[in-house]
Amino acid sequence: MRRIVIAAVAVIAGLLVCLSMLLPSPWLGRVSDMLLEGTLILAAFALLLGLLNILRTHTRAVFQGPRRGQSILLIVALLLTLAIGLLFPQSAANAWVFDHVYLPIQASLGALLAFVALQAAYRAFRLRTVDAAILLVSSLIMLFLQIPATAALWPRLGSVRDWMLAVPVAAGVRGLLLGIALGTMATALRILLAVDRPYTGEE
Amino acid sequence: MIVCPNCQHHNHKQATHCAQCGQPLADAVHCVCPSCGALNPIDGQFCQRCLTDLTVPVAQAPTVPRPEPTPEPPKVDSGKKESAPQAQKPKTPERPARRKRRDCKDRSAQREIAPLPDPAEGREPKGLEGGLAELGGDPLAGVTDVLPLETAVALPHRGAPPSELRSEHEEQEDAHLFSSLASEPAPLTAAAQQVLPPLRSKLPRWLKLVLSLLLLLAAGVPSLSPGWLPGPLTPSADTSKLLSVLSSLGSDAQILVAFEYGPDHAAELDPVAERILEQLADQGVQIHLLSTEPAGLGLAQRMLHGSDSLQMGLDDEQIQVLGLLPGREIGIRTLMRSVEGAFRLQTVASGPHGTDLTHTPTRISGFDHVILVGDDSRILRAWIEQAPSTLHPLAVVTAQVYPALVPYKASGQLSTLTQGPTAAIELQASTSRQITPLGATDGLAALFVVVLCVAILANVLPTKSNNTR
Repeated sequence: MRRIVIAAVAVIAGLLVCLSMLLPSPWLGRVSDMLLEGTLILAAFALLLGLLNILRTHTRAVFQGPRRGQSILLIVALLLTLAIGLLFPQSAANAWVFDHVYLPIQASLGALLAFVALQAAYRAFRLRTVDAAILLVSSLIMLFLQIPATAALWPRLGSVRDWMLAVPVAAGVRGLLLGIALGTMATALRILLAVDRPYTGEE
Repeated sequence: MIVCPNCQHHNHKQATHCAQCGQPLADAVHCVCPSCGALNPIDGQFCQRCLTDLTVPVAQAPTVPRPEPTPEPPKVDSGKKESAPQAQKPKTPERPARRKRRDCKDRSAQREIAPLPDPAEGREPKGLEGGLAELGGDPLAGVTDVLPLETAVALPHRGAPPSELRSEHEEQEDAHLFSSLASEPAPLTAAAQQVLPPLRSKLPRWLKLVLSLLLLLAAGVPSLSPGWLPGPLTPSADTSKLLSVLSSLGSDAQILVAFEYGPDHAAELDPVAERILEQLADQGVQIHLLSTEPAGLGLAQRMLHGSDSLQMGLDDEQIQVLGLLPGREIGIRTLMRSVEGAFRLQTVASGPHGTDLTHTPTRISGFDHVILVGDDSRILRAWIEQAPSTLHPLAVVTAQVYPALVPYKASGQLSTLTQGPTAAIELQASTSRQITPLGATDGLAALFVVVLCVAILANVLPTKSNNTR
């Protein structure tokens, strides 16, 4: 009975939002707006729930887990950042945490990707197959054409780059987008028809 | 996760019965390998432990060979070998790629199998006559407990007792054991390595070092070289259009700028975002900033506080930070319906100069232009697809995302689409500001040289894999 009620609420809410986009009804629009605003509230509360879940997990790990130091560090950093953000939202300390902790860590992780990509390029550029040859040639051509100074070498190179982006690249991306759209529609239909019920927590 | 074979419902891994149709899952979701006895998913093609083909019918598998009557094989006339029992040959597991050919071979083998002696008819093939005469009669005469082939195959696995004698508790224990065995990672990993062997070994250490040094050199070129590839920059059509749009704005224009990128792409997009904000500040337009990610909002505020030129050029009431838009795609959808509705749910952060939202349009159509600066194609596509048809955003994106948005530019949903590094240097050159060495050009050129070197190294130098293969 519980599953039926949950599925019915989810299906009705999904259908209302879907219909509000298809039918020009003010009533449906208001209902859809209300549901979407409710989703925003839920999304905000999901952040809070995630925070509490992290706290609970690492508090348990402090008492039971083998890596207590990391959990303690995480909890202290979390609470400290939270306190600074809540108590002094426009302070220099808040900006300092972002500029000197969060930003360098994320930027460093992003920079590491360059080395991984380079190693992957080394593996992919081995000319053992026709596919690898096409990949290598197209990569070099596109990278060469991306350099702004190449237009100074030969002005038509810019038009060549534009043609490659507008025709072959756009064709491939359109295919990807069509696939994504079809997959999204299929998933949405399965959820709307209650074939898939991710909201019940069943795998 | 267990897929019910009856209704295809996805059940929890520990489930013993289907949550939708009630079908017992313990006996239905696994099959026993005829070769090694391992438990496998019922829809698996190959055994996870020994790679035996599970799609071959059990009657053809060599699980129950006919017992040999004596340790010594019977002597058969050399001229009549064709009628000898070829089916007695033990079959070795073959590679999965040859499955179809193996099926054909099995069928042909079935056709070539000589009919087994049928005691009821009392007839035997001529090829066995000599051997049977030496053995002194029927070789199976002294063998007891021999089941017919069909009966033996139909029996359950040797480890399992008859189902009617097993209690429900035992069945549940078996189901749990089956589940844990079938999901054990080690045999699957080993099997995967056999089916899909690694292409090649890792790069040699010295080559990794050379590649890393090359990449570091490429990263340092913009700051080290005073423009070793200088050249007259011709702004692309999109950059020219972006610049003309920004230049044509009046002081009463309302511009919404979405910072949809994180710190990992800040080096790529920060310069162009700063150029755009500087240009908007020069025009004296009203700027409204928002982001669907906390990091994007942090970057925007960092830029406002950290840039001297922005702080000098911006008026107090000229810029407003709307804040974080939660919910990602849902938040964008709500924003497209009502800006007020999207941000009244949020604690609205006042701008860095103490402004509020009283001058902010309540509808998205109230903005003259929307500028998207982002590195996430999913969020950017949500912005583009949910925007009203009258609103054509101006997008500045990373080189990684750029190809994914080209169709939107071609269809006219995007007014302009530019890449971050090139747009920054082109805007800088077009606005006749102080032009630093052409860092973007140098960086891209250095990266091109590095990739070219990698391509040459990958195809010229021998590696461990070449030697091992």
